[in-house]
Amino acid sequence: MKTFLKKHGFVLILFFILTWAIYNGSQIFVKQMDRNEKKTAQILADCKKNMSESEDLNYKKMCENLINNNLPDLDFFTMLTNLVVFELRYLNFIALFIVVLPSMKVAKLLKSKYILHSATRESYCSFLITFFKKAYQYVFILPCVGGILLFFCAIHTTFDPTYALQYQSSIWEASRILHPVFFILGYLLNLFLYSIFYLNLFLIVLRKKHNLIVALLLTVLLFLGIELFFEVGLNTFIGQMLFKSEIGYLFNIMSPFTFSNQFHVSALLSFSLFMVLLSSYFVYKMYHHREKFIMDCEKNN
Amino acid sequence: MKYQVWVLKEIIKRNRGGFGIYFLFLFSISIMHFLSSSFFNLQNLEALLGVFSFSEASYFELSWCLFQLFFLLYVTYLFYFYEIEHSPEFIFLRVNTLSLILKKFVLFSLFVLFFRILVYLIVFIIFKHYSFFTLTLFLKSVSLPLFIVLVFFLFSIFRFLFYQVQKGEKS
Amino acid sequence: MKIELKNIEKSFKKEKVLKEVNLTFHSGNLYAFIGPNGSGKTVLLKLICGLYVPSKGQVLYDDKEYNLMTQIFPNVRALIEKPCFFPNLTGFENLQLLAKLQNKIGSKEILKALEIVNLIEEKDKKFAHYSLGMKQKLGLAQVFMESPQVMVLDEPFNGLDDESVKKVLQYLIEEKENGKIILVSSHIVNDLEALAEKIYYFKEGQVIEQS
Repeated sequence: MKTFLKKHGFVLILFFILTWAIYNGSQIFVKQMDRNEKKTAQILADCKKNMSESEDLNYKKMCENLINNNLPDLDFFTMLTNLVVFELRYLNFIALFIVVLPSMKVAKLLKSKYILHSATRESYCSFLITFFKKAYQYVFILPCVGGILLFFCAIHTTFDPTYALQYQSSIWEASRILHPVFFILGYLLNLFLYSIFYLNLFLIVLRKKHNLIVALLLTVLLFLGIELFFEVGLNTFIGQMLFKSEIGYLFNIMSPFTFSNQFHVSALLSFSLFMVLLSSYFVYKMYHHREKFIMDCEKNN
Repeated sequence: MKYQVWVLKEIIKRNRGGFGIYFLFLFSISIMHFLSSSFFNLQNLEALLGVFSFSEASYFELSWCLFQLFFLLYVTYLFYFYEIEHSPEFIFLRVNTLSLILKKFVLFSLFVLFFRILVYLIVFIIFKHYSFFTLTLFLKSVSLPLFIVLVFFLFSIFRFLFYQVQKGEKS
Repeated sequence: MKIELKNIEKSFKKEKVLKEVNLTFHSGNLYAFIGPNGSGKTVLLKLICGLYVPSKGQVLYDDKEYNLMTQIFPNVRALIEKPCFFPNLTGFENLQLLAKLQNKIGSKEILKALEIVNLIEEKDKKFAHYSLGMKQKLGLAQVFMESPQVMVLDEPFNGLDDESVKKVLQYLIEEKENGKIILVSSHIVNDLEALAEKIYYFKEGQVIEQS
């Protein structure tokens, strides 16, 4: 148990902090909705008491609407929208750190020039398997965080989408809302793909810079640089100006938790899959050459 | 101080690609305004200069401001801890640690000030006929980076004192 | 001058690298540190230079303890690890830049130091174009150029040709006779056996005096 905690302590602490943050955010929203419900109930009670005596036609009309329309139960998608867009909007910005920070230990392998010792004891392929196992061991943390977010939404709400459809309170359109299982699967798969993509960015930078803090800073810079390139180059210049299309809005790597409604789920997943494949290709190119790897490890201290 | 100037030159030389990309983004974003007026709102000129507010920023403005912030953090880190990675015994046996950190602080503050003035001038030259440039805007664009340099100065004293040189924990 | 190490212990994350080291070094002597890799030689040399602070004990120069944030040990120069200089400056320019930090010497002394390490012909070559041996020589030159009272050298002969080794050893003997303290570590006993007043052997963090 002690060894397990020592090995995975940091990840467990990070996970608990995020779980607490999501719980806190969901509780804020639930309390807000409870207050709204109480206010509505109070207004309804006042209406029943005062409606017959009032001479204000608008007030009478409002009371009639309130009495006749039964307020539907709060739905899953409304709550998820509010959490992702308002209470927990910072999750999108810290997603990179959630994925990369637990995998920092792999930097020690390079910094300590482990390859120089292992080169005479095991094959390069075997070393790479050890290395990538260590790097990707926490790849499920982002989908798990997403899962916890979905869980807290599910226990406080219903999957009946009437509320969202009636009040347009969700950022997702009907085609997604009406298939919650596919939505959840797609949501988690999207997070998983982004998790791999972020880790690949870190590995690409780490290959050249073995200092952990420098690698972390450069990973963030690379991430922001790619996002800026997509916004400025692909979206605005090529998308909007050349082709007069809004397809460029698809190219956004900064909002994995939002699961944008602007495009079909298949387009979203295709984009994240494409980024995973492209980044994985670069990881392969950077790590497959044994001699260059050893030489770079010798230089970096 | 001459030694620190060479350290700064070395860091700029090694990261000239990064500086190039920085200015490329700056020019690209500025050009985007003239090609697509809906792209960049001149009322948010502050965002172009790296000053922003979380609640009102779009993804693009946030990305650009964070890019500038992290780029500054990256270069600051490389400069402050250069000697730790490159034969510390050459410097720490010739100059005392506090004096070294002070010299770094003064030189790097001047460099950051010069760099921010350069960025401000570029933005001013491009947009002088389209927007208002005030002293407040200039001060805002300069004060945050200088504040970061100051924070790093204090952090480096702490790090040198308790972790790096003193207790021998190599970075 | 006298350097004293009193009850020195050094640990890194619960692992004790040096245990109960008590040593004294006097002027006019060459001390050799010999031991297998990972035995703690480099750690001890870094403690003597002030690059590390001991977990326990004291490092005293002439019975005085120094605050390493605001002071430096008097007149100590060292070459501990792979030497790093500015790649776009020549060997000579790199040494000039270091010499300007304390402004004690001029070009004459720098050229003399380059002569000692057999690097005078390559002094105007950029550091980026130096071979490993030349880099090591330049590292030694930055130690010798200011004629320090204390010289701390960790594996100084790595990568050096025989002629350079002889010249460096000759110089160290001369400096020793001039009253300097010279501390040299090596894993090769033959280099230093004949020259050192005392040889300290390292084994598992403990120091055993041999002769």
